Amino acid sequence: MVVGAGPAGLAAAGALAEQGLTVQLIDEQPAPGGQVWRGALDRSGAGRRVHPDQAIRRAAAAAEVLRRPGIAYAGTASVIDARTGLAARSGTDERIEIDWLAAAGPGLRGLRTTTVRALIIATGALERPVLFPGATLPGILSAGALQGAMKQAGLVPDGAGTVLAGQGPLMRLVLAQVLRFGGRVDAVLQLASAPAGKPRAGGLSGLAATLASAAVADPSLVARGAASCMTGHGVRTYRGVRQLRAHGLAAIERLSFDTDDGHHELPCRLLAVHDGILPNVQLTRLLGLAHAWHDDQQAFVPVTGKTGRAAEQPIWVAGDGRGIAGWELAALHGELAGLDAASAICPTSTQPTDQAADRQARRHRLGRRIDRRLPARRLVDRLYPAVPIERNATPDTVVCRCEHVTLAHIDAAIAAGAVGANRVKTFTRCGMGACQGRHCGNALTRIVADRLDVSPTAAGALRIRPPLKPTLISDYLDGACT
Amino acid sequence: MSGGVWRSLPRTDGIPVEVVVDGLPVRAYGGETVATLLLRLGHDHFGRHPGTDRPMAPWCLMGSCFGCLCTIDDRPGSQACLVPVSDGLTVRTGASAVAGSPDTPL
Repeated sequence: MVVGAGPAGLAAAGALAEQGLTVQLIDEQPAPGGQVWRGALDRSGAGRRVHPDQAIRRAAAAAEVLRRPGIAYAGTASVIDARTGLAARSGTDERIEIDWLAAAGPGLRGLRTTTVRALIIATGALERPVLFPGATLPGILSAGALQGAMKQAGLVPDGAGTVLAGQGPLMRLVLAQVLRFGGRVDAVLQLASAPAGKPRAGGLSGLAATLASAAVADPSLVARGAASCMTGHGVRTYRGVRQLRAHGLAAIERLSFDTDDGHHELPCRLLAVHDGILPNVQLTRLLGLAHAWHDDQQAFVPVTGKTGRAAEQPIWVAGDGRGIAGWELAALHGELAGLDAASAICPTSTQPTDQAADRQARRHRLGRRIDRRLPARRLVDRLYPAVPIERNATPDTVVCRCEHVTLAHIDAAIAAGAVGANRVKTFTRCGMGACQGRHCGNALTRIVADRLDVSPTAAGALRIRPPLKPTLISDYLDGACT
Repeated sequence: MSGGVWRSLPRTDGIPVEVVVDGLPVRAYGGETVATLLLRLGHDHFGRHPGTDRPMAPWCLMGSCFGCLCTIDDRPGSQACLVPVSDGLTVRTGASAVAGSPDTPL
């Protein structure tokens, strides 16, 4: 089974099918393509035109694999639970059972269980929330959400008081796209210190070295990035923003913030925020895979080998869920993971020698292409370190939206002896709501590590348990789930 | 300030479907999800927090924040951002869809 039909999942499914294996590919979105190609393949959608022609061609080429015999694709489908370590009834192979829920599609309603020999997790990324007072008011969403509404449904922000606040390449891209399609942006608030964040490890000389190796690894990416940093598109830009606050009764009405020039207030009815993206590790956590803190990305990533395989398990992780690296690397990782999974399921001893050798050579080539491109990604990580939480958050700032847990609640729990993220969860219900910590989990780890002055690894991450998404009892009763 | 927050790009093709939102039939188009339909119709929040009664609004529109929960085709707690529009779909907004808040009586 492959979970996620973005660039990584499509490439992985294609590689598995090409090796003669049957693949169940599932994805939460109504159409394949992941977040990067969201809406690109939907001919009836008004958002398709937001994608450059080149992106539509790439998405269509990647989705070609869905025509291959052997691949069954289900959209609007979510994983609810997964269990490992099961021996097949007729042998000693290790099997994985996955409970999944398809919301639509002929004959697909209800919870079902699929038993598989290999699982490839290509669940992509989540956006890192920006914590500030008033952030839960209606009218505030993520920059990725704004872009998704444009790409999928052709919705463009058009009212007076549209503001972007945050940092990083996605925010610049969203600004350019909104303006290109006739939308309106009144102001851009740069949350990083001007011009591009304070380099951390290695200081300025380290950053220069990273820039140099990135320019060699992917000159076109670095050139595009530099060009996008040069233009503000004529939109009023505030740099070095801190103490961001949203004000309003039933929805956002006004923003206030400080810069080196003083205090500012702006009318605002739509605010899109962005602080980079995080690997979506809900499923890898649920499966109990080992994770390690990625200091440059300020996030936990699953521990995997070169091909994305988790140690000792028939589980592979590919794409941004393995560490943020962008869609091009995701597609290469996906293909590599698919080939490796195929080799693991059908050992070379049962295959003609030339086919095995061919597979080996392809894996080698893919590994080299991945290694060449990685330095460019490191530059983005170094340029845009996560916004420090204390730059905007106050004691009454909500960290967990589902359970309405504030920074003050978390601090009180820590003062009362909660010595890790999961203890804070027990004390406060932080991360115990419908989203299962997708929204607050990364911030909670960083807050606990900061307050206790321990490493993020020691602070820990929220334990993820089934169901991965809230599920109705009737889904269990009606479905074909074991 | 007045006026809408969102505008739709012109549609070149696609036949509209009819979705029933809080009892009223509305036109919806290919590519729209229940969440983007509600935003286009001017809903800035779709429900209320069961503990605090504050309005809950979509934040991520990609299935992770659970801010867009509605009752869709009689299914409570549906993620509006993941459900594509279809003919005859019924949507109810305003429900307190997240159970289990500390302030909610059991």
